[in-house]
Amino acid sequence: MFINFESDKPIFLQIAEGLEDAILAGAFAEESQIPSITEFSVSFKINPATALKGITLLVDEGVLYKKRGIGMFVASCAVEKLRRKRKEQFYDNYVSGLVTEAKRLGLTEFEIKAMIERGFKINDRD
Amino acid sequence: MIEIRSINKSYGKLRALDNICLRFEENKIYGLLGRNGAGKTTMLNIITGRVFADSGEVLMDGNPIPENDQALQQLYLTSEKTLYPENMKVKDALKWSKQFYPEFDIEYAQKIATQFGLDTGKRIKSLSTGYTSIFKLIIALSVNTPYILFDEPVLGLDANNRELFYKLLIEKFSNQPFTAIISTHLIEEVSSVIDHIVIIKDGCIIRDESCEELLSKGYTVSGTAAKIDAYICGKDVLGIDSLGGLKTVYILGNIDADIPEGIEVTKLNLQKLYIQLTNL
Amino acid sequence: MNLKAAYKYQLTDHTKSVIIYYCVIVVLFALLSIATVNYSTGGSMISGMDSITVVFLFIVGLCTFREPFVMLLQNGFSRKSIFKSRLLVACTVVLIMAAIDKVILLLGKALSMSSSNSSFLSLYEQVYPASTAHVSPFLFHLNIFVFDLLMYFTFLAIGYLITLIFYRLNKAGKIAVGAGVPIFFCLIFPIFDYAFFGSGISRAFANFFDSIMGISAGNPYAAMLSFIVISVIISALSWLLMRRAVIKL
Repeated sequence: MFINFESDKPIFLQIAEGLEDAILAGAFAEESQIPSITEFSVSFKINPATALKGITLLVDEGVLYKKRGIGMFVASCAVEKLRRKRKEQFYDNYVSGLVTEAKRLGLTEFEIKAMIERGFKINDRD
Repeated sequence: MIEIRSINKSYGKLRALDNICLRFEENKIYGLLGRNGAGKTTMLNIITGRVFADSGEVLMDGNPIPENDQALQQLYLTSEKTLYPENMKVKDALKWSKQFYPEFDIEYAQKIATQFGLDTGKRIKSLSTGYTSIFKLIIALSVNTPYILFDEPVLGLDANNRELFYKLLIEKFSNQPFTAIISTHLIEEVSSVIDHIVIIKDGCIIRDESCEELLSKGYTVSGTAAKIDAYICGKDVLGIDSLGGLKTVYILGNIDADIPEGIEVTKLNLQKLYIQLTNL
Repeated sequence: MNLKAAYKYQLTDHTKSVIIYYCVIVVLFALLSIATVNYSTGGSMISGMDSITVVFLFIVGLCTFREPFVMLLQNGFSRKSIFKSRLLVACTVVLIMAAIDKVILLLGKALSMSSSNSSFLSLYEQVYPASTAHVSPFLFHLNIFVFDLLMYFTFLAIGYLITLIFYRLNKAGKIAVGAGVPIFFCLIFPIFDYAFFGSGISRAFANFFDSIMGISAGNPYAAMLSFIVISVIISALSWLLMRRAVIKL
């Protein structure tokens, strides 16, 4: 996980997204405990309130849950939930920007499709 | 809670503090930001009763702080100027701190001194600038008073020790919250740590709000000079950066719902905002 | 309140210098005694041990304001507490030193008794020779003790006040007072007094000093009372100056 302090994105969102990535990548398995607020804030040198805010975001979404007196855990259906959410965001996060930039450069729809195909091929080979 | 009510302070003709009103609530980390000579140190010295204000009041939970032992014992200020006897050894300073502040954790102090690489057998006068700062930070982090005030805490510290300081500060704060006031001109280092930001310029408070609030109030637009000039008309402009035909403008206020074509909007980061606010 | 810590801190500050002082004194007296026994042909007299202590305490007073003051402000003490604990420390130091000097005096007297041609006198005995004759030994020694005690306190307080005055002054004031006061008393005042009053003012001062110290009258109790009055005035002035003293930036 990495926090970019120069980024326009608020730190608590970066924390939440970083955790999501980690869960999607399997770094934190479902039903396993995640680091405490203190550990987060100390290792990233951020205010505990900011870390709490990021984590609360995921608790509200049902990705994490709290066991009283023990700590934060990854929910059993977290990966599924996150995938669904990320799929929904895929268009906004990637496609719309891609189309805007393509237009600015004068790339056609056909050319873009070809690029995407190429990208898939290379990725499959790796 | 510490409350500052209309404090004024002049040094000769210089108005060091001009009608300052502030509140420091419990268990929050405050960033007291301002350029050199803005009045940060004077304010901290007035809060801790080391210097007297010309007029105004400083209260802790409603009681005046100056000359009030009970209130003064709740505060610890690490001053830029070393007030410990030069000939005293660091370990003796720690021992005395325990005498003065019953909550002082001498074992913790020794532990973090080792982490910082400070030899407690040394005399205070023999410490370098960086280690003099570290020495004061060690006491501040171990003193366990409800209010800890840091005046330029990382003066002369190298990158590793700065990082260690912020880590220890957050660790301490997470385990046992207290009110911290960090006076600095290095916003990039504290922006992620502080809850609340107070910006002081030429003895006046120009911003006093939570970091989030402040950030939500400003934004940056960039684009061609013509388009930008048209857009910013009538807006509260903090500052302008020009590069050839391109312009970047820092604006205070809420982002408009409809942004004209060709203008890119980004959020303001704290550092940019601060620099724009405190520019002369 | 946490007065005890402030007291302890300031007392510790003094301990070292007091110990060093007495080490030097003991060595000095030992050397003097050896010298007298071996080389002196006539009678000898060691006297005024307490006047050395007075000078020492005056210097101690000059040196002990700034460091503890800023240290205690750093550590959450009010000026009031610093002043109170300082007074207690001054009393303690003076009491201890008067007692030690007393012991040294008694020892010195006992030693000098064995050789008929030497004597060991206190300042008190030198200034008030008449008053030592008709009192019981106990009262005699008690008088010396109280006299020393009050005199020590007065000089310690004067030294402290002088430093406080200098601390409160700005740079220009320091130079003005530092140079002006000696020039006034050593040069301007004597010339002025001599030229216009035929040294009448100086004489009046000398008479005044003589009468408050009870020197001609041979009355040590007048001096004791004067020391008390002077100490109270000096301490009050010190408090007025400390009340508004700040940490210089």
